[in-house]
Amino acid sequence: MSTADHSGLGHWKSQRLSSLLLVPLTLWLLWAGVALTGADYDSAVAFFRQPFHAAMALLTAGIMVYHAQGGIAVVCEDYVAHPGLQSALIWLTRLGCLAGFLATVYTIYVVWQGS
Amino acid sequence: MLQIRLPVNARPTEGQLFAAPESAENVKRFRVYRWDPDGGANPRIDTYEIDLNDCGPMVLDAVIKIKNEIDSTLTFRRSCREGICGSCAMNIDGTNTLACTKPISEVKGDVVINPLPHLPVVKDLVPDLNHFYAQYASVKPWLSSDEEPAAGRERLQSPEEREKLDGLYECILCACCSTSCPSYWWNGDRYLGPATLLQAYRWLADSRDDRTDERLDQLDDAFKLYRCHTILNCTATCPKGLNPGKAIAETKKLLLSRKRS
Repeated sequence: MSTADHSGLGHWKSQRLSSLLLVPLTLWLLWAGVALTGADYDSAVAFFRQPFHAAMALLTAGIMVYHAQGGIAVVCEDYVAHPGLQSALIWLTRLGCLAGFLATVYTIYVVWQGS
Repeated sequence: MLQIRLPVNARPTEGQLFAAPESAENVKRFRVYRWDPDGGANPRIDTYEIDLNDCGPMVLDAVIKIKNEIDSTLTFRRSCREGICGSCAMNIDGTNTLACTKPISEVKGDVVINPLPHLPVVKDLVPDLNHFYAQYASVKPWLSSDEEPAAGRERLQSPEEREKLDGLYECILCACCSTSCPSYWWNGDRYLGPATLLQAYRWLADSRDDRTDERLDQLDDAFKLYRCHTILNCTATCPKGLNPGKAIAETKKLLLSRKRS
């Protein structure tokens, strides 16, 4: 399903809402990147074992991939005229984004398991 | 996929040079797109040398001079020659504008003239605007209301209500904005384009019209309205100084507030 299969308002609103949410989340991500610069593996694991930072990592990954797949779908609709190819690219993007998010969830899960 | 280059048979070749007479003192070169549907040949760019001392100040004056005095086969639309009919819209020096209100003196170097971009060409500088007009008709650009005015009375508006139409009613449908919009280039079959959307908002903003919900229902579509990505070429190029981008944003705001209520 592309964004063109339904009213445009829902997609437009979701893109703007997710981009607003990404403002503080991206700031957190930048801060975390700076805070972990030079840190060893154990320190990084300890960082993400804190519930707040684990939740922020999941939220950031989730909203980022949600925003990205919506945006890339629009790019595909704009520039890929062939309906089959367009649909395939949109679904591939979604699968890639889902895989990225699941990888983040798995990583946080592993960290929480203490390994 | 998106086609970046023109098809081989649509790529312009170098055309004829129509040199200025030797007595000419103030020569400007006009490089004009030419295409004849009957010939089967590629488009070409003809070069006309004009003595500006013997020509009016606007690009349209030069184009008319070319047709009248140099090459009567040149085809273009024109009518009012004062920026109110929109007929002479063309791409001049890389920007869509009206030839009648574009001073030649504003163009540095050769004056390059092409038809409005990304529309089928009928001949030379005449684009096919049928689809553009059909899209305009699709938004029902007329007053629609169930309420009848009192017998013998007009439908009254307050000055404030009338003021909301400023910047909208002045649109002359020249198509400069729509044909400057990349979203319209790639998806012009489904995206209504800035000119039609500005006209649609003109009726949404009119206090005398009571079909707002119906009009918004029609516009709430991923392609008709939301293909606008706020590039704002439309606003930058409008020869009347209007702001279709703002009209589109106002329409999106109306849709958003309507869903909330």
